[in-house]
Amino acid sequence: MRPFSYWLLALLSLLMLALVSLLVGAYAISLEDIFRQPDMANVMMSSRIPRTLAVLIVGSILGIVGCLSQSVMNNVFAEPTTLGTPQGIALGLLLTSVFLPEVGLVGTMLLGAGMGLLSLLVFFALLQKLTLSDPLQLPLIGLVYSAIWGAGVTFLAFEFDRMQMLAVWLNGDFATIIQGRYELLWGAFIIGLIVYWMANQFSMLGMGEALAKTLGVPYRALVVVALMMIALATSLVVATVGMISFLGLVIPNIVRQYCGDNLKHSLPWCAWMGASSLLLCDVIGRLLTHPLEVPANLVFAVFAGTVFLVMLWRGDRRAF
Amino acid sequence: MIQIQNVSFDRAGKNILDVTELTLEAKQTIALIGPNGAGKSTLLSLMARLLPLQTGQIRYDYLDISSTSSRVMARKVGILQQHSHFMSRLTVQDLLLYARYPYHKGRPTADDHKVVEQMLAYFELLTFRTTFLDELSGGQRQMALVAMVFCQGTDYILLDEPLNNLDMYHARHLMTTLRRAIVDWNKTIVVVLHDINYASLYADQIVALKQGRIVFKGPPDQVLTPDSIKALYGVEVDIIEHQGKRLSLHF
Ligand SMILES: Nc1ncnc2c1ncn2[C@@H]1O[C@H](COP(=O)(O)OP(=O)(O)OP(=O)(O)O)[C@@H](O)[C@H]1O
Ligand SMILES: [Mg+2]
Repeated sequence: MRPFSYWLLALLSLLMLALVSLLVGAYAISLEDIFRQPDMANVMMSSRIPRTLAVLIVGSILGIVGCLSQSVMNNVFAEPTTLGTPQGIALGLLLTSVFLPEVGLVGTMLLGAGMGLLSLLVFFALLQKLTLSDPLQLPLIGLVYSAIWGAGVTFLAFEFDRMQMLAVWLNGDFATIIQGRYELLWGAFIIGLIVYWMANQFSMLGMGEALAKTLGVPYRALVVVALMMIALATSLVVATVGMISFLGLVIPNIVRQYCGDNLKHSLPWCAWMGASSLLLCDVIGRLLTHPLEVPANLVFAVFAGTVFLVMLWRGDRRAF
Repeated sequence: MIQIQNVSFDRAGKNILDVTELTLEAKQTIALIGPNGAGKSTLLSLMARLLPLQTGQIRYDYLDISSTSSRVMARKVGILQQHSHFMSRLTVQDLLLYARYPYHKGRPTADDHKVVEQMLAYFELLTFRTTFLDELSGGQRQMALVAMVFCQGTDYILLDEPLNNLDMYHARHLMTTLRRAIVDWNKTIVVVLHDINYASLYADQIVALKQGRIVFKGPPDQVLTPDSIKALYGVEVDIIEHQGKRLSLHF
């Protein structure tokens, strides 16, 4: 019965946090106002509820995607940001918005995901060629790798006068989320469910290619499916609210400490912790320089950076 | 029965293994011995398809490994590698359940859980069932990895230096367990050993490998002589008889 009570506590705390998120903003709304003043209810429906849902979905999917990346790459420091995925996706989004503007939001997002998948596949192939003597080498290689994609996309953004868009894609911010601007994220929610449904298969990837193959695991096929999930989910996030850096690195590593590498156990907690910590960061961002806002990505970066430094300080290469 | 024919393996332009003919009977413990770098791990890796065959054939009961699907092979041969590194924050029981993948394909059934329980008991791992692998001692971890291979439920089991990190009690426990497994479940076990005496006491057959070639093969009480050991390792030893088994004194 213990795990059940943990979950009850977790859901209650998330609910409380969501309530706070609904009531806090440019102007505070009290619970009474919603029922008494029609325009307040309006603000709720068109802005506060969409925003809160967006944060919840983005936080949980990035937690899940980070955890999945770590299993696929067999490295605790892997996550979209350290693999250069957002840069790859941004390049796809940019090229589409310049050359194929007629494909619409979903088409743009899919082509972005395609480019993200390409960047992931190249990185994965590169990793097979290298023997890392220390897991920490992965984010260093990733840094160089994402700089290459980053340089390409920055150059193009500059040429086509899209620097503003690039900044939005790479810096997650929920201030602009209103009804009609976040619904694509439900796609990411569904991807999260699919990843959880396949958790036992994806866990096998963490065994490494050799061991997985002796167990008859269709390793290559699973890797491609996993990378597709990562690219699609990240692309949805980048295209709608922008990337939240390092969420997928920090959250799964904290969760791993307690739940281990069995994705069936750890994914739900990654989702919960990703959602609640991002929501907390978003609320703090709204209160910090009230009535102006600090983007959630920045607030989270302070939190994530600190945790990451502690990880390095402890010198424990398993992370935590 | 395992049949190995004309298997030769080159690495970086150098030949490191060349076995023209080796037949291993089923339902036996076969000890593979030889000095460091002899090619023992290479041979085992080829047998488990961790390395691709460059020439020749390997067959298990007439099942040719180069034309058999991974799904079939996964139920035929299991291997414990000398070094394995993977995401190791798994509990012992999760690890054993993973080894049932060839049967459950990611959706474990009650049967799979039953096998896991059986193996946890067989390898005396019940107290560690919910311990994470990276929180076990080297020896406990080694035991868990061996149990994992047995969970896979294959007829043929290849173990590369399973006695690594095991203390006197656990080394003996593992070797007797291997012998029991042959009787209980008709397993065929090929095990790389560095301690000649374990090979002598527990193996039915000894295969000695040096510089990629088979130097001798046969039952311990025939092939273990001061001369053969001198030829294999370049070390002078005394061989004594104890309760009908040959033991080498090499200190
Ligand atoms: N990746 C590699 N690249 C090049 N040569 C290799 C590689 N792995 C092994 N070798 C060489 O192949 C030969 C056989 O190695 P192998 O690991 O099969 O020996 P072994 O009998 O298992 O030794 P040990 O008892 O030390 O485990 C050695 O000479 C080794 O140097
Ligand atoms: Mg070896």
